[in-house]
Amino acid sequence: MEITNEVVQHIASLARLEIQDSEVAEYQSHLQKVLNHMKELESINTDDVEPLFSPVFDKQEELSTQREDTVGESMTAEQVIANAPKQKQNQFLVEAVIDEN
Amino acid sequence: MKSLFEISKKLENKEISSLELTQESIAMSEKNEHNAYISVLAQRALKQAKASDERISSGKRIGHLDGVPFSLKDLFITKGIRSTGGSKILYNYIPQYEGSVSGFLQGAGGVLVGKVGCDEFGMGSTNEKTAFGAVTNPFDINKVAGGSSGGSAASVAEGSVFYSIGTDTGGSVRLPANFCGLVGYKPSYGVVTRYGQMAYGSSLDQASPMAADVMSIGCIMEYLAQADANDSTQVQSGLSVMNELATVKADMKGVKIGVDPSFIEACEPAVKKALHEAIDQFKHQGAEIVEVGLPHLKYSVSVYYILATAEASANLSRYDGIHYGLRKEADQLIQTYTQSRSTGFGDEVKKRIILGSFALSSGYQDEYFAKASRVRRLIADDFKKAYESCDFIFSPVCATTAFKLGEGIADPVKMYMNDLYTIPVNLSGLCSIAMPYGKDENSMPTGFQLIGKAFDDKNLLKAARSFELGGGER
Repeated sequence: MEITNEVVQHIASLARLEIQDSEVAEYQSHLQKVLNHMKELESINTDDVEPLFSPVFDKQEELSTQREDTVGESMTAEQVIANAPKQKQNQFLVEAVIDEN
Repeated sequence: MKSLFEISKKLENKEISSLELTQESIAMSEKNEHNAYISVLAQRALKQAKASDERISSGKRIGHLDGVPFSLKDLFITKGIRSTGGSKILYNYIPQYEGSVSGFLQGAGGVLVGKVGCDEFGMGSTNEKTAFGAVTNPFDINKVAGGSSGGSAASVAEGSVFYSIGTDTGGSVRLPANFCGLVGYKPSYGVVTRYGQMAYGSSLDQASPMAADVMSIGCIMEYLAQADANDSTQVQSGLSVMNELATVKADMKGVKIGVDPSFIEACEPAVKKALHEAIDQFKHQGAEIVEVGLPHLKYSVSVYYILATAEASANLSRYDGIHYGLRKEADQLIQTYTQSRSTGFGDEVKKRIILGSFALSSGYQDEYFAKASRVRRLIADDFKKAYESCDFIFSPVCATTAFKLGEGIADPVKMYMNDLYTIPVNLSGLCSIAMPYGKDENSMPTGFQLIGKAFDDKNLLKAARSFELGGGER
């Protein structure tokens, strides 16, 4: 797979990242080198192999129990909002997403 | 470097006070000779030490950790104490809740002296990829401490604390332990809670201790492996091993240790020599060495850098400039996200998010993410097969000793290959202990790792202790 600067910019935008024009060549080269190395996986036959997503998945299934639905302690609104860079009346403040018109 | 187990006995016998230890520890941490510390918690630690001394004098000492100074990788959430993850995006983040690892250890009377540096969000093998400056190696300040838990390793190796907890996603505790002459132990995935640990690769991450010797690791695990209802992937909590470690003998008759000779041959001469000598010592202690083949492990780096970055790309989407951390104002919300993340994350983190996003993106998910997940199973199956003929597997931690700062950064694949021997353990959820053994021609530490079956942690620690008694280096 050939990675172009456009591919890098597209993926970056999906991940909500901005890559400066001056940096894009370095990102492109990094991604290309790593993906080239990863080509080695193509030669492995995995036709009858189930994917493994977590080493404890089977065990979790076995143990899977739901906790009692009881009311417990939780953080106050002030605590939840304490680290927000912008806030108003105990709410996270963001730029308007709905056009006033 | 000082043993937690030994100092704990002195505290118990009132030969030394926690206040004295803590004052000494703070003095060293504030000097910060190897840039291990991001935050030193002097006043708080002194208070904890005094409380501990009171407990000791009234005969109410909690246990091995009570009164002993320790450090935590800054990737762990600590209530009311800045927790940065080594990232600029969390430069001012002060958690409002207590992470479990922090709570467990301080609840056991541990004196938290400081939060220590790491590669940003655990992404790196050298501790150079951080917003807080590279951590240097106490054996040679021109060399790396290893990563990502480099601050943990340097703080223990320089002797400013008796132990530290790092996180091991692909070797991030075992590698720095190996570069700094320490014992580094990655428990089986599912033994230690991940609640309050900043997530990198959720199916791989595991909080892992570093200390001077195996007895000290045992002391830590009594508390670190406590059950936590906040993590559903903690499927086997509880690791009380001190009584058994105390009765371990150097005799290893009946123990079978598997070795894949190709792993050893690939190492640089000084490391190879140490590995051969360690194998000789195992034999000398009566263990039987059997040859095993682990044919798919050579693909581990490719598999890991697809899966870990894919998980990271999802995990790190939480840093949005809205809820906490750094925010860059823009006219539109989507621009606020983008600007905040682009300013807050370092280069390596951005590169890994892009790689992970690519591996999950439409059209490439099967080729990369799904394929890697299948090869992951083949790697785990290689281990299962090998364990049919042995109890533990002996392996290098890294093919080299610590390298110079700034070396190797240019070639990403070369850099990622440093993790070749440590990654398979995380992919398969196994336990592994990195043991110091020998030095290279420049007196830099080297060693090996002993890998155990999943949830065979107790036997692994016993085998490591046995090796130590047989003459393994302290």
